[in-house]
Parts: sequence; structure tokens; C-alpha cells
Amino acid sequence: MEQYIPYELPNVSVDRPHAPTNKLAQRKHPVQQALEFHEHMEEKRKYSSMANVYGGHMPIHFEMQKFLVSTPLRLPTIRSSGIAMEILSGADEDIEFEDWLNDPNMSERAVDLHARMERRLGLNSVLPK
Amino acid sequence: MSNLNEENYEEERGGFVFDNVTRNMFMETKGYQAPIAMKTGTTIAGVIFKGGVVLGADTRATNGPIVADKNCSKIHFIAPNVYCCGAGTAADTENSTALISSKLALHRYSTGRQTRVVTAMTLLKRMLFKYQGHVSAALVLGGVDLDGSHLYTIYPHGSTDKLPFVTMGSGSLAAMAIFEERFKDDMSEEEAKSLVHAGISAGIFNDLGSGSNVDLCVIRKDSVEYLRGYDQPNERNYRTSYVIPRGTTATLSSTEEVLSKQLIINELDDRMEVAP
Repeated sequence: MEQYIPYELPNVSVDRPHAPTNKLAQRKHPVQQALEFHEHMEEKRKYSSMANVYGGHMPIHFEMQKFLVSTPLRLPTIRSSGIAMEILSGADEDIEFEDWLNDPNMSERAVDLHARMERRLGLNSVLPK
Repeated sequence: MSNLNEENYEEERGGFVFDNVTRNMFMETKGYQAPIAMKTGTTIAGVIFKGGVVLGADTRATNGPIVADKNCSKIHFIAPNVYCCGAGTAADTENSTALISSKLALHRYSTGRQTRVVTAMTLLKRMLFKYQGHVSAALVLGGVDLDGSHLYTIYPHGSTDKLPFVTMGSGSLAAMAIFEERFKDDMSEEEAKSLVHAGISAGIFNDLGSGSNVDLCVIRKDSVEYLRGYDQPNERNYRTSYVIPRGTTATLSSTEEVLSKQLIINELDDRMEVAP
């Protein structure tokens, strides 16, 4: 029997236009890899020190808070400032490249509300999400 | 639910974009030769003296074999008591020092205390280590804080040295040759300035990547003196004057033509029809 390969049309209005759509062909830039690794290690370090100081429940509690805070409540394309997430991560008292290079608030790209909503509800893909 | 979170989180973020990476890799498999990084050249140096630190830099900016700027500034502000010389990719040194300077400003607002040089050094090395050497910034960081005078070199991969006299960039060997011969502990400010001047001059005259003028920055216990263009040994003494008097080129013939006649527009009262 032939293997069924799930195929999804690249949704240019939703995705970033140059973002690779084929997951198999996705290879990462060394800097991207380094950044992801760094983020992962920082989180691990933070959680282990949290567990050492406050007990094993603390990282779980923190992870739960992060989940709640990052759940989108607004309609797509209406951006949240993400202040609660920033407070949790300490990003509100710091400045990084993310804050002033390629700021999503300054984006010139038009977004399609209907496409985003369809995507969120899983209406536009062949296979349900 | 977790899918929703991931999607939302993804689109909220700024920073570096890696969208074209796959495309570029694909193009390379088809025989496209990606441009290679250009060689950079600079002489930057620093010396600790009795009451503070002297930083020095040349002012040449190169773009491959071309001198892009003959008088650029390589000594960057970090904090009122900390300055930093940058070698490597100009945009990288400029932006990483600007970022750390902003971080330290926020830190000062939060703590209300003077910035320590170690803090600046640690932030810089952490940032550079995070990018694994892809941010091409080789720095000489100097300043005076409550612990005294400090001088560091920071390499692009995030390693650091703390020494009484340091040099960086392609002219570092020329400058270090001078420093190793003439450095003494507890020099006076004037001695330190002339030593850094001699070191940077050695870079300017012996290293092809460095040139033009000498910039100095003297950081003392409670004052900073930024000496932009401290020495200008490569002034252009002779310059051709191109002031050509009127009528130098003879007019052989001339014609005059009216391109368009004046047009009069009569505005009619044509208000928009709102209702039938």
C-alpha cells in the first residue's frame, strides 16, 4: 500500500512568505540552532535552581503559569503585548535584540484575519490538526 | 491546546529571521556560491595607569580592499564610567555595544548604583557566547568603578582576559610590540596617553587594515575625556582646487523653447451626489 503523505498548501497570508513549508527539508542555520540550544539550557538551569531553592513543585507551577499566560484569548491578528509572559520570564526589565530588531508590532506584512481564524480552527488543512 | 500556544508564541517574536536559510541551502546545492565574509582590520588598545584607564583606536573602516571611512569612531559608550573599543564587523560591534549599554542603563535605573566594569564584561561575553562567534565583535572594555580601574579584552566567541595593557584587531601585534617594550606599572596619565598613542600609531603605519587618525579615551575616577582625533598624522596636505570660473566653456549656439503654455483651470461646482 502506498504511503499517504499529508500535503498542506502553503498559506502565504498566514505564514511568513519565505518560511519553508516542507518539514522534511527544514534545516537550521547554526545561529538558529545555537539560539534554540541556549534557550533550552537557560530554561533547564532556571528550573533546576528553582527546584533547589523552592522545591520540585516550583518548576511545575511555573510551567503551568507560562501555559496559562501564553494561551491566546484574543481573536487572531489582534496581538497581545504578552506582558504577563514578560513578567514571568523577566523580559520586561531587560532589552534584547528581539525587542528592537524585527519587532512584530512594526511589521509591514498584511495579515488575513479569516485565514488565521480558519487555521486556528483547523478548517484550512486537508488533515485535521 | 498546546498547538495553539506554540503557534501564538511563534508569531509574537521578533529578533533574527532565518526564513531564507533553506532557500539559500537549496541554491548552494544548485551551484550558487554564497559570498564569503570580508577581512576586517583595526587597531584598538588600552592601558591602565595610576588613576584610571586610557583606551585608544585608529579610525579606518574598510570594505574589503576599499577604505570605506577614513575617520570612523571605534570607541563606544557603554556607561558613564565604562567605554569599549570595537574591532571586527562594524555593525556587530556597534549594535552589541549599544545593546549592552541599554541593558546597563536599565540595570542602573533598577539599582540606582554605578555600573561595574565586570557587569558590562559579563553581559558582553554571555551575549557573544550565545551567538557562538557568529557576532563578529572583538572588544577592549575599560572603565573605572568602586573597585578601581579594569581593562578587559573580549573575543568574538565570548572568552575574556583581564590585563593591565591589551591590544586587539589586526594591528594588535604592532601595538603589543610597543606596549611590551614600554609598559610600566603605575604610569602617569600623560605617560599612558603617549604609550597608547605610540601603540595605535604603530598599528596605523604598519598594519594595512588600520589607518588615519588616533582616537583616545581617558577614563579617570570621576571624569571621562573622549579625545576624538587626538592625533591626525595622515592629513591631506595638497588638494586640487576645482573652482572653475564662469564662462570657461565657450557657448557655440543657444536656442530657447517654451515647453508648455500656461493652462487655466476653471473649477466647476461639482459636489458629490449623495442621494437620488
